[in-house]
Parts: sequence; structure tokens; C-alpha cells
Amino acid sequence: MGHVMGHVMGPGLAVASVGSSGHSPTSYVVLATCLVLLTGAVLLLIRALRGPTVFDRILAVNAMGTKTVVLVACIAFLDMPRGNPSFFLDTSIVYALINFVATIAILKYIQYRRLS
Amino acid sequence: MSVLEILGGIFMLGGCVFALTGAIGVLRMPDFYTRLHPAGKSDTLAQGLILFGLVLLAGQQLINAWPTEDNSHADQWIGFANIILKLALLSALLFLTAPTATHAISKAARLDRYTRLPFDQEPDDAAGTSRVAEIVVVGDIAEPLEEEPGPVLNVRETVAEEDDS
Repeated sequence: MGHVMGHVMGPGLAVASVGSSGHSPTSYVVLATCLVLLTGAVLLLIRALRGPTVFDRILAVNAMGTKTVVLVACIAFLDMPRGNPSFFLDTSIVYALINFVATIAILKYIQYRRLS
Repeated sequence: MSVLEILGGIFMLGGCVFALTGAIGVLRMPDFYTRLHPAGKSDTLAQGLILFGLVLLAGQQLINAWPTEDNSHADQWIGFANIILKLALLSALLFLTAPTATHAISKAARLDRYTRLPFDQEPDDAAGTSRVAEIVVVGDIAEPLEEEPGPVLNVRETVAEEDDS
């Protein structure tokens, strides 16, 4: 696929891309990291579905959110020399903030039965 | 592959090990307070290692795009510096928020005396009771949840008066 795209687009884009063309070995490392993070998120989802108390569920969902933040930051680097990872990192920062605020809000609601 | 890329790959694989063991620990630990341990510590270290590996990968791209006389990619140089700055900001944010959230969860679970946490059980205790949860501390939510009972809604005294008569 990469050879076909490079041949069709011609040498104009090859000058623009800074890094080495084709899939570098670092792309496979980033892909393996993404798969491991997905596996960890599935294990935490099992704990969130099974958890005896509500605090187990909150803990598992919070850890899943942290893993998702790192996963989005890793997805940004899957196609590093050609793509632009900046937007993915913006998404990741916003998701980290929302995850923290949501955890504190759910805990406060459970503790006091109101959010004020 | 350059030295920075190999170092970044090693850091990311170490972060993968910590993330996977943390998830397995949360799944397999016996009770709630032991589950806090892998969820709080290993996640923080795993995100630090993985994001530092990504910083090293972006640093290699930054060195490739360094502006010289025959290489005028000034905009891409700014872009990669921006990426490294955002990754550092994200890592600092997670280092602040993840332990804070874990601490808040543990404090809420400690203060909630109505949730039966299986913890610190002696063999002669009844199943599902918690000895730690019986200790009253300052800030316990047992009292503030009870609102001041009005004359109409005071069911307990009404039932007691009916029993007396």
C-alpha cells in the first residue's frame, strides 16, 4: 500500500516528508503499545462490570480513562513522519481533564447525594 | 533506527509491562484497598514511561527537521517542538490528577460506612462486615446525610408512640 501511494503521489510529497519513507520499526513498537493498552483496558472493563462495590467500578473506570489518554497519544504517533499528531494530543489533554473532573464529580455525588 | 528511537522503544515497552501488570492486578487483587495499589501506582509510572518514549520519538523527528542551510523546514521544526511541549504538559497533568483521583476514591470509600467493604476480617466475623468501617472519624458522612426530621416525617417517634399506647 505504501509503495503504491508513493508511486502515485510522485516525488513532490517525498520531499515534504522529513523522516524515512515507508513503515519504520518504531511504528510497530507504537502499534504494540496500542494493543497492550487496549488489552489492559479490556481487563479493567471486566473489573468495572464485575466489581462488588461502586468504588471498584469508579476505580476501574478512572484507570481506563488514564489508559485511554495514553492510547490516544500513541495513536497520534502511528503515522509519525506524514501525519500531524498535534490534534490528537489536544484531544488527549482535554480527555485527561474531563476524566479527572468526572471522577471527582461522581465521588462527590455518591458521598453527599448532591453536587453542590 | 537511531539511538533515540531505540531508547524510545525500550521506554515504551517498559511502560507496556507496567500498564499490563497494573490492569491484571486490578482484576485479580482480592479486595478494594488492595486494588487501589496497582491502579494508583503502576498507571502513573506506565503513562510516564510511555509518554517519555513518545517524546524521544518526536525528538528524533525534531533532529531530522533541524533547520540548516540546505534544509529549510522551519515550520516542521516548530511543529515537532510543539508536540514535545504538549507531551510534557500531558504527562505533568496526569502526574497531578491520577494520584489525586485515587486518593479521592480511597477517602470516599473509607468515609462511606454503608458500603460493606470486605477488609481486615477476623475468622469469627460475619461475612460482609468491615471492622475498619465501624470506626467513626471526623468528616464521616453518616451524620450529615440525616436531615433534621420534621414533625410529620418523623416516622420513628410516631411508631414509638403507637407502641406505647
